[in-house]
Formats: sequence, structure tokens, C-alpha cells
Amino acid sequence: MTGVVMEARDVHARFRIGGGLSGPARTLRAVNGVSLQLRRGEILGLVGESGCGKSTLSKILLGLQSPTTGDVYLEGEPLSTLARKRIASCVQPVFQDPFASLNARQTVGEIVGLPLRVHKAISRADRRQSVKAMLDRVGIAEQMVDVFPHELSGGQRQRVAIARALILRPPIVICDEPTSALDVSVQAQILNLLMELQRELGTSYLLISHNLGIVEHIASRVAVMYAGRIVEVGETETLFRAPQHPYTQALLAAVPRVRSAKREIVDLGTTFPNPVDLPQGCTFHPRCRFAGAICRTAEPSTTVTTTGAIECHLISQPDEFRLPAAVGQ
Amino acid sequence: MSNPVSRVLTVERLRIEFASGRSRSAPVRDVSFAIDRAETLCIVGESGSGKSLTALAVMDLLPQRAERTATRIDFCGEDLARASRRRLQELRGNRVGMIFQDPTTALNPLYTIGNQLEEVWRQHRGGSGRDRVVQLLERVGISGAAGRLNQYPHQLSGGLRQRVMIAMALLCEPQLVIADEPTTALDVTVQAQILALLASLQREFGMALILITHDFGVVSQIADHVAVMYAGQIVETGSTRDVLDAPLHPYTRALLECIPEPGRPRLQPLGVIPGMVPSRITDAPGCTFANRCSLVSADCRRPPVIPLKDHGNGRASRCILPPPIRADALRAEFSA
Repeated sequence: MTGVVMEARDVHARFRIGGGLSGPARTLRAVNGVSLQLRRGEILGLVGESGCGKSTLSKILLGLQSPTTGDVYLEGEPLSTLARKRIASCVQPVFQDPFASLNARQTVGEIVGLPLRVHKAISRADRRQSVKAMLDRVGIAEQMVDVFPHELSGGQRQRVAIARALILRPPIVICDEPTSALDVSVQAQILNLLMELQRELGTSYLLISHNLGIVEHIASRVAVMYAGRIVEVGETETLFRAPQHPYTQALLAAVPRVRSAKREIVDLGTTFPNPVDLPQGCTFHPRCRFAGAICRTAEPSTTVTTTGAIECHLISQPDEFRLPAAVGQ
Repeated sequence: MSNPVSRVLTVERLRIEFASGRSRSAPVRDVSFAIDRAETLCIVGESGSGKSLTALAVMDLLPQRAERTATRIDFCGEDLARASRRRLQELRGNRVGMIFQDPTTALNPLYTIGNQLEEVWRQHRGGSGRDRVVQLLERVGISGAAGRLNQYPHQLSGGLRQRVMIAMALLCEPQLVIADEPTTALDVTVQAQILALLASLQREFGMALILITHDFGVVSQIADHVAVMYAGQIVETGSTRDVLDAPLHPYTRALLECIPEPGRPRLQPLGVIPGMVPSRITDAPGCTFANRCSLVSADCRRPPVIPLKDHGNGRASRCILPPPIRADALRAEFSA
């Protein structure tokens, strides 16, 4: 469990929007300085509300989009210097919607075999054998090789998508909401499969999900993203037991739990920041119940702890909050 | 459950059939439930369980080719099963509010939200109702509501659109609100707010709330009573804590084991229900869950259809095994 397979260093993604008839051009900051390490053989959960930049970050890590500044390093080499095929052989995606992510005109066998064909990994005869073995491993019966995706259920399609992602045995798989289109009973099967395969093949997963229950169950570390930045990262058990960042605290409190009775809900207000016009200082301060004067003006720096890192003035500058003038303003 | 005065809705033996060509299917069979004033009933189930059809059937909003039968659909003493279309139209949006899953498709993109909300008021109460609309939008947590009346649905975020839908459903202070997956498309933070909002509005107006969901977490947070549906039937019903903490039916039990939750050992395999929900549902003898049940016996497949058996305290389960033996069997199975 040592070593870093993939690392984002101060990655920014900015988009220019408008500039035509709709008014002056503005800059949308989707990813706003993310540094993140994916360790060998771990499942790293990435959580956050919609619009926080999770999916843009995943596209950058997959090499499908270049960062505006900063770079991603794959086994120490910058992605920007690597060929498309080399990246694809190392980083594979499993997307949210298995109804959209599989080519409707290809059979299951063709879909799963395509990476082998593109990368000319093995001969045609071996390819068919390899596809069958992979399908068998994800729980798709051999006679399904020649059927089309529309004949499969949602769970079966997601199994096919997983087989396609893993057939080249890539060291990294990026799962973007892999089960949110599925029923809970099917979701459990897919999560079990992902856990088994991860153990068997030693693959590193980045698991993007808004379902904190899933992340808590299968991830070894968790990164919490807010308005384009990672505001807290830590080991799963520690982070869920004692979240440090006020945003993580509020996010965890908002999850409805089956085993607990009705309880008070921490109100975050409705205003998720507009990525075109991010707040000054700490981007979370308009929704933060602890926000003090310093949060409105200065960007928080990163505090590294034994198990992770937090980006919050409460942690890095606790003295600021002991002053009666600063608290409760 | 309580005195008939506070009873808002009673549905008895609801059945929905679809006929296509020579084949018939019955995706909702023998569904009965009742709800009182200021109460929340959650109907929970996976896709294909018939929960949304059940919700639509109450106000006769099913697709045309659906055939609905019921021995009774009683809303505040009025028989809805035999009510005229005109009468149902008078009730919808007025004394019965509906909230749908996707506010993007439920709102008309060509009219401002003020327009759409005022139309509901004009239809049922007459007059513009502008003040009432503004007041209610503020009440559901939309700040600066007066200024928002001229906005179109696309100018609002998902959370705000869902609030507009809730305001529309509550505008005429209905006695009953039927909400079909009202928070499924939303972030957990927004979901938490919407659920808190529904609960506080319920305390204020005393409305009865039927909430359709597939999320047991939501059930746990908001429901007084819960009905678990599988393949068109209610398989278990009871008060929320009873059902979630000590489920009687093997399906409820298995489903709860699938959910990744705190307290469950991390990184361990989750519970799995083998097989799939039947795709075309008809009247088969015996138990519909038999093919996937870990406690199945030959008796489970024999006719007739398994009835919903009363276990007292408002609890009922559609299983032939008596509860004590089942508890033991399950305990033995889970320790194995």
C-alpha cells in the first residue's frame, strides 16, 4: 500500500463563458487548485455536492481534458507528455449511466474486447478467450457474449462496463458514480464486485460518489471537494468519526441514516457558490456557521495532520477565533 | 388505527392492470393502506415494485390503457373510485397536492413561476392570489420571492425548482400531499432541507403526507408508517422504527442488508438478493418473492396468493412463516 500511482499537482480548470451576445466573457473556475494523491492499491473516495468540480477533475485525471494550469502525474510522468494510448492503458473509467456508456451497436463481446483490439495486446483467438474469462469474472454468462446492451438489465450493463475497464488490467480505474443509476440490491452486487476485483488485481480506484454511505463502506481514504478545492482529506474511519472541516461536518450530518431516528439537520442554506463568481477568502464562509472575520478576507492554508489534511482557518488559525470580536460577527 | 374523523385517505384492494395484445399484466395487486391527518406514510420499494403507479392511481392519473379497480378509495369521506373527472380536477391541486420527482419536466418552461402558481390559485379559489403565492414561496425558503415571480423555471436551480413544486402543491392548504421521490434528483444537503421543510409545513398545516421513495434513509428520517412494496404487492407494513429495526418479511430484511451504513463492518461484502425483480407481473400462486428468498420452502409456491397477515400493533407481513420461527431462522442464517 505504498507509493503514489497518480498525483494531481495544483490543477486548475477554467472555462470562458459568454463573450458573445450574452454579455462580457467571464471565467468559470471548475477546479481551483487541486493537489491530490492516489496511492497504489487504495480506494480513494471523492465526495461533494453537484457543481463542486468532481466530474471535471475526473475528466482531467482520465486525460480527456487538459488542465488550464498544473499537471497530473502518472507513475511520476506528466500526463501532458504521454500518448493518448499510453494513458488509456493505465487509466480506465466506469461511468454513472450504463445505458449511455455502452455502444448500442456493439455486442457485449465487442465492447469488452475493444480495448484489447486497440492496444493490440494479444491475438484474435486469445482475445476471445480473454473476453470470456473477464465476463465470467464479473458475473456475465458466456452465452451473453453475442447479445446487445439493450437486452441487458442496468446491473448487467454496469458489469459489462466494469469488464471493459479492467480487461487491460490498468493500475487505475476512475469510477464516477458507478451505482447511482441502480437499485440498492443491484448496487450491493456491483459494490461487492468492485471490492473483490480491487483486492484480486490490486487496482487503485478513485471512487466519485455523492452517496457517503458507499464511500464510507468501501473507500480507504476520502477527499471532500467544495467549489473546486479539496477542503479535507483523510482516512475514512477518522474522517467519518471526527470530521474536522465545517463543510464535511454539515455534509455528513445531511445524510439520512436508516439506523438512526429523526434528528436535527444542519442547515447549509441554499447558496452553493457560483463558480463564475466565487466568494472572497474561504469559499465556504457564506454557508459556514463558524465563519469569522478572517474567513471573509484570507484564503485558508492547508494544515497537514497525521492522517490527512484540512483547509480551514479554524484549524490553521485557531487564535483568530478566540478573539471575542472575531467570533459571532 | 384511530378515530374516523382524522382519517384522510383509505385505499382498499387497489389493483392496476395493463392489457397489451393478448397478454395482461397486473403491476399493482391487492394494495391497501390508510393515512391520518398530520401523518407521514412512506411507500418504499425498488424500481418496478409499483409504488409510483399506486401514487398515481389515487388521483386517477394513470396512463389511459391502465385499468384501475379498488373496493374503496375514500378521501375524507368522499368516494374517489367513483368520482367524476370534473370532481377529481377540483380536488387535485386544491385539497390534494402532488409533488413529482423531476421539477424540470413538471413545470412549464414557457411560463414564469408566478404565472404557474397564480393559475393554481385562480383555478381553485378565484382572484390573483399574488400575495398568497409570495407568502408561500417565502415559507418554502425562497428569499426575495416577489422578485422571483417573473423568473422562468430554467433560471432556477434544481433545489429551488423543487421548492416551487412544493409551494404549488401546498398553495391551497391541501389535506393530503402525495410526493413521488421529491428529493431523488437533489444533493443530500438540499434533500435534508426539503425533508425538514416538509416536516415543518406538516406540523403547521396538519396535512397527511404520502411519500414514495426507494431510500430507506429518507424513510427513517421522515416517516411515521412505512409500506414496503415488492413486485406490485405490499409485503410488509408497520410503524417506521418497527419495520426498520426488526423487519418481519425476508425481503425487507434482505434489502436492509444491502445498504452500506455506519455500524456495518467496513470493506466487508454487502448483503445480496439473488435473481431479479420479475419484469412482467401477473397473478402467480404462492409468494412473489419465493424465487429469491433464502428461507423458501415448498409451501411458499403453493396456491393461493399469500395474504398480508396481521401481527398486531399495525404490523403486517405477507409471508407464511410465523414471526418467531422466522426470527430464529434468520439469526441462524446470519451467524452461519
